[in-house]
Order: sequence, then structure tokens, then C-alpha cells
Amino acid sequence: MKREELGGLLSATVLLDSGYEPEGGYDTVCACDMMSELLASMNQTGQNSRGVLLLTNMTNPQVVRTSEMVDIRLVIFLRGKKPAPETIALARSCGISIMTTPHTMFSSCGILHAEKLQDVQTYNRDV
Amino acid sequence: MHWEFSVTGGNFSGAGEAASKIKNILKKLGIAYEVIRRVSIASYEAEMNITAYADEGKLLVDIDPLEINITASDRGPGIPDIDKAMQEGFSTATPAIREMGFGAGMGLPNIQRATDWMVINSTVGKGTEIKFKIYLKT
Repeated sequence: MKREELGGLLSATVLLDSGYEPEGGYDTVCACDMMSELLASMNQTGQNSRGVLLLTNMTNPQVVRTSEMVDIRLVIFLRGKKPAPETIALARSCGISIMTTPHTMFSSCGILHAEKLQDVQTYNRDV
Repeated sequence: MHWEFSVTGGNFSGAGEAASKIKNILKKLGIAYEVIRRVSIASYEAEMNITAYADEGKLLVDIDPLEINITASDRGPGIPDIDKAMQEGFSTATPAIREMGFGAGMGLPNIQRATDWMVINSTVGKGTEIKFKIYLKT
């Protein structure tokens, strides 16, 4: 799914457009607020990160830095949250697009799930 | 090839810069995507640990044709019980660390999971050294 279409589904506002669009579009969602959880999920998944987007309530710069580490190129902040200027500045330097949606985590996941986007491979605590 | 990066304890605004530089070096060297991701996750978690808990530290990176070796060493409080620290969910994180989205007690297990080999040496009141290795062959 293209970024513009995602934005429309989530009634999202684009705060920073890196111009990046993954080949084949976005097809996978990582929804979390804990950055170590994000790292664990992305370590478990065998897939390339290019089609993964992040839904999160956290707006500090570490969200962007963590996304950079695992090659997530689209971060969508929830509940209409807007990040601080330093978060946007870091995203710009990392080539990461930023959007904000008025929807909650639950609603956003529901909307994207209904459109057949998949969950990033669930972190397996037994591994 | 050898690189060294300094990390300042408590400098949350700069946290992750060393791991980002390491990642860019690996990309320029043409290292495989999967290896870069594993190194990035492990070195970033190690850097966050120094930032969150230590006074100062450094990441030493050595790359040879077979493997990538990283040592994260710090001057800080040390880890009283390493076995406990390796248990997922155990954390001594402060509220400031949790506000950054860390402190879930997954840092050290994440490093272990992302790497092929890892060892921790720590002396309470002096500091901690975490060494890990990732093979370049798949």
C-alpha cells in the first residue's frame, strides 16, 4: 500500500515527507511503544524492513533513532500527537517520513488489519 | 579494521549516534543486510545501556573477513547479578529511561538474541564490559 493511501485511511497528516516509497508499498505494521520491543520484533522477523511502518504513541527522538536501526522508514504517531522539532530534525537526517493520525493504537491497527496489512512477526518469548 | 566510539552517560539526546555510525560503516563496506540489522540492534542496545546507567563508556568495533566483534565497556555502577540482568523483564531503569521507551528489561536479552556470541564481565562500583560477535557468513 502506498503511503498516500495509508494516510487517507488513517486520516493522517504528513509532518515530514522523505519522498521514500518502498518497492511494493507498505505491507507490514509494527505497533508498539517500547523501543526494545520494537528491536526484538524486528530481530525476530526474517523479512526485509522496507515495507514495515511503525505505529506508536511515543514521540521522542529515540523513536526515530530506533526506527533507523531497523530500517523502518515510516513512523505514524497516534492520537494526533506531534513530535518535538528535534524528533523531526532527526527523522529528516535519517530519511524517515512522519505522519500523525487522530486514531488510537487500537483503531489504527483495526483499520490497517482490515486492509490486509500484516503484523510484524510476533515476538516469541520462548526463543 | 578497527573503530572506537565514545558514549557519554546520561546524554539521551545523543543516544544512538555511535550505533548509527557503526551501521553506516557496515553499509559502506557492503555487509549483508541481515548482518547489519543484527549488529545495529545489538550495538544500539549496548549504547543505550551505557547512556542509561554508566558515567561514560565506549564501543570498540573490529571487523575481519569472518566476523564483527564489538566491545561495549563503561565506567559505572556495574551489574550486581548478571544472571538476573539477563532475565527478560528484569529492569532497574529510572522513569527517565522508561520515558524514552526503554527499560523493559529486554536490552541484554536482545543483544544475546541478535548475536552469535556474547559475554558480560562486570565489577560493582567500577563498570561493565559486554563483548559480542556476529559472523559475517550466513
